[in-house]
Amino acid sequence: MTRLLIVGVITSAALIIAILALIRTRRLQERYAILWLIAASGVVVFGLWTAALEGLADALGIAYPPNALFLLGALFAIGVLLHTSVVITRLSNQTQTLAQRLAMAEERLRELEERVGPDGLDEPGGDEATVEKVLRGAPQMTRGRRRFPRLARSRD
Amino acid sequence: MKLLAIVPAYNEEGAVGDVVREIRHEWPDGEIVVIDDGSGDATSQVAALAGARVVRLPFNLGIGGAVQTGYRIAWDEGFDVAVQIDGDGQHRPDQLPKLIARLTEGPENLVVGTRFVAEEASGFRSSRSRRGGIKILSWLVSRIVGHRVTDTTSGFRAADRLAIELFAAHYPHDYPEVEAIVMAARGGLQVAEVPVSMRARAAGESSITPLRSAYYMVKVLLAIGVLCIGRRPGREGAGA
Repeated sequence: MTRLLIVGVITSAALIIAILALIRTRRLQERYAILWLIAASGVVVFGLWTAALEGLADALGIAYPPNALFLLGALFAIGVLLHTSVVITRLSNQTQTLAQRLAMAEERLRELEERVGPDGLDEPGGDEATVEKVLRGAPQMTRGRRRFPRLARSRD
Repeated sequence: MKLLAIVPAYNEEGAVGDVVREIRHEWPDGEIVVIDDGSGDATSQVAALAGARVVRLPFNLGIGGAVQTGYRIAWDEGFDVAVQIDGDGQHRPDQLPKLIARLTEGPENLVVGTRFVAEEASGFRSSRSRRGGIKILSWLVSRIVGHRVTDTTSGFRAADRLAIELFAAHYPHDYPEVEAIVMAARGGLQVAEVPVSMRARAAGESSITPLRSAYYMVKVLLAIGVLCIGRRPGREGAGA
């Protein structure tokens, strides 16, 4: 085993331990750790099982087997980064929707408070129909994808 | 018919009050909602004093997120028509009847107020590179929509109930005007243009810089490309 491989295996083992520690302290969700664990485990397995690594390098036409290992590592890292971008996109869509709904709810609440008056619900200031209208939920929207099937895009 | 004016405003305390008053003057029966997109100035207070409803976003979402908030309100509260008018004063409320007339009389679901026909009269001017970009987008969007669209970046629009539903569910981010037209066309909606005159900005700073313009073009072209993937020619409107 070359020194390069030893370094790779030790680094990956340290990474696995760090990931497990993050999961244990609830700072990393399992679903986002799985890809990292697979990548790090791959490096450890191939680093120790050199025959498999040499076979793989041969199949890929790579002269120096450890390079096959680092190619795999790079591909895994790209995969994880892409996955992260997808997650960020989903989160920012959800955040935007939350901000919009919050602002709308705050406006309705202000309006409701103005109608009800400062003494609360004991002394309704507005007519009941208005209060009911304010309290009633929004009309149900057909799910976007079915309503506008050619825009099969958004999942927020 | 219930009408809602959606006025997105970000740090427009100098202009938004007059915009609201002009809309009310032009359109006494309509409701006006100002979407304060996380302004740091007195935009919300000025708008409320002028008599508008004010929805205050907790942080800046950008024009797309702000406008979509308006469409969500329009959908939730059962408005039949929603119009978008910028809070910076460049869109003239006295041009509103033209948009609404076209929307209610014609078969279109979305009517865009275009400034180019009336450009000379209003003294509207823009830089050469900006005009070039606008031309490219106009050509592309015209091909997708199926008829000529001259002013794809205009944010002065009127939407019927179907367009309100579409935009409440899906609305583009960052620079949404061009993409929203393509989205509407892809969603099977009909889009029309009506010539209107516009003003130079009443107050505040334009956000356009060369770098942002380049990013704008790349982003919008990418968005249009993605929207058009999987297009089935000859089935335009079949999904709606």
